[in-house]
Amino acid sequence: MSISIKIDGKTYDVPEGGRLIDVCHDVGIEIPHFCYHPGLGPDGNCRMCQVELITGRGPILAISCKTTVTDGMEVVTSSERIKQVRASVEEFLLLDHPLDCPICDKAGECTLQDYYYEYDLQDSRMKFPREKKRKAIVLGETLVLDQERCILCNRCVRFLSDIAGKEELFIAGRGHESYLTTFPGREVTSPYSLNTVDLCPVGALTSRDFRFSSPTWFLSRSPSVCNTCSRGCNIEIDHKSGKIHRLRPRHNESVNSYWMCDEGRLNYKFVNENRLKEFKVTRGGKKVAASSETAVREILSALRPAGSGTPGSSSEAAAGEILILASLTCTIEELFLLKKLNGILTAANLYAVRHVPDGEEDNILRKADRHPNLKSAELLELSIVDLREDGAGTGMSDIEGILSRGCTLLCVGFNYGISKALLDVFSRARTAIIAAACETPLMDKATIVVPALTFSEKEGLVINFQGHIQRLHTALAPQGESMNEWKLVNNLISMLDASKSFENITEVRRAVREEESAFAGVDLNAIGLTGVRIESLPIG
Amino acid sequence: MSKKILSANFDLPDSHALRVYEETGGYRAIRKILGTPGDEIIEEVKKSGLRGRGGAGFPAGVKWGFVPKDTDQPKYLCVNADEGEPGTFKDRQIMEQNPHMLIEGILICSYAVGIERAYVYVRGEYVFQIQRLAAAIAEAYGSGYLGKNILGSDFNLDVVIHRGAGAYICGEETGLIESLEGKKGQPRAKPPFPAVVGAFGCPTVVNNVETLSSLPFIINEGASAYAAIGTAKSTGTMLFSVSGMVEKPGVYEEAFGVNLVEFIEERAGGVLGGKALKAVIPGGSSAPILTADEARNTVLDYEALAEAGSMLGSGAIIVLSEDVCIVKALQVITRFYSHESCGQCPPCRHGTYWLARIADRIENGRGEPDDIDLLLSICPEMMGRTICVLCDAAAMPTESYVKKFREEFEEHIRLKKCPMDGAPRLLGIE
Repeated sequence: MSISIKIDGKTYDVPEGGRLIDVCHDVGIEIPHFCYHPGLGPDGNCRMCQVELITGRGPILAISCKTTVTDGMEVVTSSERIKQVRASVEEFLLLDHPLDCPICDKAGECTLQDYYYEYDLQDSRMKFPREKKRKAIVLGETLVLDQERCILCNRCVRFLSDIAGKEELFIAGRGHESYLTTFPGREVTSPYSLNTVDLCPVGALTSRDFRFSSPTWFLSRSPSVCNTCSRGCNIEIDHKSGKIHRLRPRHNESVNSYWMCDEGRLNYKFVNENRLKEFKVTRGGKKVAASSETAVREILSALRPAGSGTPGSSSEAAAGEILILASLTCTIEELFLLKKLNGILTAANLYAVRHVPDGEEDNILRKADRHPNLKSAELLELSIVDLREDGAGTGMSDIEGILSRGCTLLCVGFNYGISKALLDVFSRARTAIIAAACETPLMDKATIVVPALTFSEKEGLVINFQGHIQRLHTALAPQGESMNEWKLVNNLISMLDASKSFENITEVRRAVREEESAFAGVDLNAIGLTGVRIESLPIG
Repeated sequence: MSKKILSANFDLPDSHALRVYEETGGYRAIRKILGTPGDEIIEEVKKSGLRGRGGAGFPAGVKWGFVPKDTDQPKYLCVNADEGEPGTFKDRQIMEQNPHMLIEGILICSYAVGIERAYVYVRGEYVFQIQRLAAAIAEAYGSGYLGKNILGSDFNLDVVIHRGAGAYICGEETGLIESLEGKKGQPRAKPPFPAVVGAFGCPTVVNNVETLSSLPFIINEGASAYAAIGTAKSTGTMLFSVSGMVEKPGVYEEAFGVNLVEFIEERAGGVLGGKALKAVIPGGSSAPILTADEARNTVLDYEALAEAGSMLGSGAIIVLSEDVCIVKALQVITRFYSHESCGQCPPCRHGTYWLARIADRIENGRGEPDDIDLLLSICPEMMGRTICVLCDAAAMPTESYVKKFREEFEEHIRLKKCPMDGAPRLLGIE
């Protein structure tokens, strides 16, 4: 039901029962706040979000985070009194604040700093030496605490107890001697601990990983999806000069709310390190750099029927069957094109591979399955082989026959999670072609190497365990000569049968919709920033 | 002598004993109401005009009326015996001299509201009073006034004593509830009010010891008899804790409406050593100060003191003679509030400490001329903007001390020292 409320003299029709602070946000009026967070609910301690409610007794101050809108409510958010309330809260918070902004990680995205410019802008009237508290306290593997910067908003405390499910921080002491701390002798061990850094409105809790890595204002921000597990938390990639500096959760109520786990958050180093930057082919038993044209040509001859290979080249051994392995980190487009390629090549067998060992699972976000796109392989009806070291081992027997007859191997997307079983498959192939983004033990055994992309450099779609289709966006430029996997496969298709190749990725997605029954009616080109649950899409 | 309702038994030998309480008509009220619908009792208490004696003065019956009638949850009574307001020591007197009167009050309230469990949250320092109260509760259980099927009825009530650990803020009703639940004592943002969501998430009445202790009289003599005492809006009597520079500090019961200075002179023997009266803090340390002239022109009741710009509060009257340095008094009380702020809200956490630092600086001769206006500008920024009223309780008196005795502050700053060095300190707080 809709009700009518008046904010700053203007009437709005808003849904019944909302929090005033959210309602104001929705109509475009930002109410400053420190302790309130939509993912945590109101606490009411920071006093920054006060507004005036017009009552029969005149205007009264109320905290908008704890005020529920009612029909006919009249709210003032911009009066002189409210401006004064905000300025004074800022002044109080800054009284003993260390003002070490120049060396603070939070500078540039600090709420206290931003609000000072927006609502205060006065010199401090405090003439006493500032209170000293402890600084740079290591709270565990992930966090560092600066008690002087802390404004005691309680967000981190509430997150750990209410969302992460374990109380590990609390505010000790009383009055101006209050300070944030862990329980005596304990550390913060929550696998979700780094969310407290995002929640911290100031630089009190900082990430040991990100600390002093970059001033925040130098970072570019791109939306993406975490590729660490089958949850696919929506993230923002903060990057600079082609390097990722941090990942942060992006709000998506139907997938990850406002949070992500620490493991996913820190799973970006492989993007920055050990990257493959050039095409390589084998000459005289040694891998040498080659042009993309040479490499693609040699891949093609390796995949073509026996006898067409050039003696002494990478494809020398090309003969017999072809085994195509696609990591379940591949996108829908890549999997679909590999399926097409598989159809064109008469002697080919395509398998989607589970290769990353299972991880911890909980009922917050983390899923044991560490592949971001298993669901797509299922929907595309691909054969799935299990090459996880700890896996049930179902896979090997499936491909045993192919391997024993001697085959050419084409692998796409194995950047991490290289299991023994996978290495074993590699060593048994006559010719191994790999398109991957990172240097891994597989490279030693590969004859042709195509430098490919990580999740942060490509466009593409993945489907999480809930059946939620989500979109990766290009955040970073490709490194070196890196080639998009879908383009590589599409090139191969076009050389084998030009009529079956695609002009661009939009065409690929259209074809998925037309050719794959599971995606019938799903407009893959219309997937927005927060994705779409498959069953909710119109069929037709 | 004044009408005695609460202190009637105080001077009797063994006034704390069940026998003495019963001999003087004790537990008559609970017998009288057993069988009467709770709503009628609530109405009666509303009619009596009884207001909360903890400091806020909220009508007790109205507060009970906020408790939801049709709830599956248990309801609780929290008896506020934390008595932390500096200058206040009247609940102590009740628990020490007549604990059964409190227990009967607890019975009446619990019966009326439908409560089967009451917690008495007692100031931890009240060791002797806790012993007295515990003994009285044991006696009451032994005589069928507490426990199952009280006096043969189907009314059950358990009373549990919970000792506080010394925080002023735990006298704030939601701070008390948090502390009772085993958490750090800090007030909750309201709404919801305790009547709806209180102790352990259940509807809860929080009443002061003196409020509850007034109930047996109201039941026995009738609401109109109670309402006939005092003034039209401030009904009944109150226990006033008189301290400071007076000849006879102590607890005095008085009907509302007497002149403040006459009360000090007649009951408490006047200003100590026959000195001139300088000022009176009429309602505990949170109350704005009254100059001697203002005190002479006001009477002791809720309305008159509000009109005089102060408040009746907990009825703690602190008398300041000409010997007392106002700046030192401010130094003491601001230090108290700074120490006792729970620290949740920035205006209180930082404001109280800022006030304390400034007051300290002025008293110690390091004040600067603009400190006075700084104090006056900080106070309004602290008032009415926080979760509870501790912040107001620091700011209101500060503003009044500075406004009414500005020349004393100016003198300190001009002389760069306290002109009354060695003057007696109030409240014994160092």
